[in-house]
Amino acid sequence: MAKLERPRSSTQSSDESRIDATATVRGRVRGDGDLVVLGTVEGDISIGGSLTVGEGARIVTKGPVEADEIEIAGALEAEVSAKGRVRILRGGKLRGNVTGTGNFVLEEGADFAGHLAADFALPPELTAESEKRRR
Amino acid sequence: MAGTIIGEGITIEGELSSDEDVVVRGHVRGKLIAKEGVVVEAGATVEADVSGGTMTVAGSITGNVNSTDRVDLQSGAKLVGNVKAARITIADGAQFKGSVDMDV
Repeated sequence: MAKLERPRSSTQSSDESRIDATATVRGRVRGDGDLVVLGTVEGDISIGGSLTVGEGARIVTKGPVEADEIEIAGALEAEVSAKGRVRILRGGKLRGNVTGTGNFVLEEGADFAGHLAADFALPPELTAESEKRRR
Repeated sequence: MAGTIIGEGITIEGELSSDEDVVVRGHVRGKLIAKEGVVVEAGATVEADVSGGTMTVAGSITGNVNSTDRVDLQSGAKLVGNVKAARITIADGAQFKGSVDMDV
C-alpha cells in the first residue's frame, strides 16, 4: 500500500493559494488559480479558479467577489458572482447578492441573505405550460 | 503544512499579515508582515516592505526587509531595499542593492 502513496512534490499545488487561519489580507486579491481562505480578507477578490471560504474564515467587502466556483463554510459578505456553482454549506453565511451562477446550492443549516439572480433552464413541461398559458 | 501560500497566478494588492509561514509564488504589492518564516520563490515578485522571521529569497523583492532571524538570498534572487537582520547570506548569483544593518 505504501508504495501507492505519491510523494508530495513542492510543485504539487503551485497554482493553489491559501490564506491561513491567523492571516489577514487588507486589499485586493486577483489572478488565476484556486484560493482557500481560512483567515480574513477585507477586500475584493477576483480569481479564475475556485474559491473556498473555510470554516471560521471571514471575507468582507463592499465590492465584488468573483470566482469560477465558490464554496462557503465560513462568512462571506460581498457582491458575489460565479461562473459555476455557488454552494453554502451548513454553518456557512452569505450576505449579499449573487449573480451569474446557474447552480446555487443552499444546504440545511446554511445562512443566506440577499438577492439571487440566476439563469435556470426550465424543464420542457414548464416551458410548454407557459406557452399554453400565453395562448 | 500550515501557513499562507500565494500561488503563482495570484496577485495581492494591499497588506498581508500572518502568524504563520508565508510562501509567495505569485505577487504581493503593498506590505507583508509575518511572524514566522517568509519564502519568496523563484519567479515570485514582492513589491512591499517585508517583516518576519527566517527569510528565504529566490525571487524578487523591492522594499525593505526586516527579519528577527536571518535572510538568505539564494542564487537568482533580486533584492532592492535595505535589510535589517541578525544574519544574512548572499549567494553567488544573487543581486542586491541596498544597505545591511546587522544590529550589532
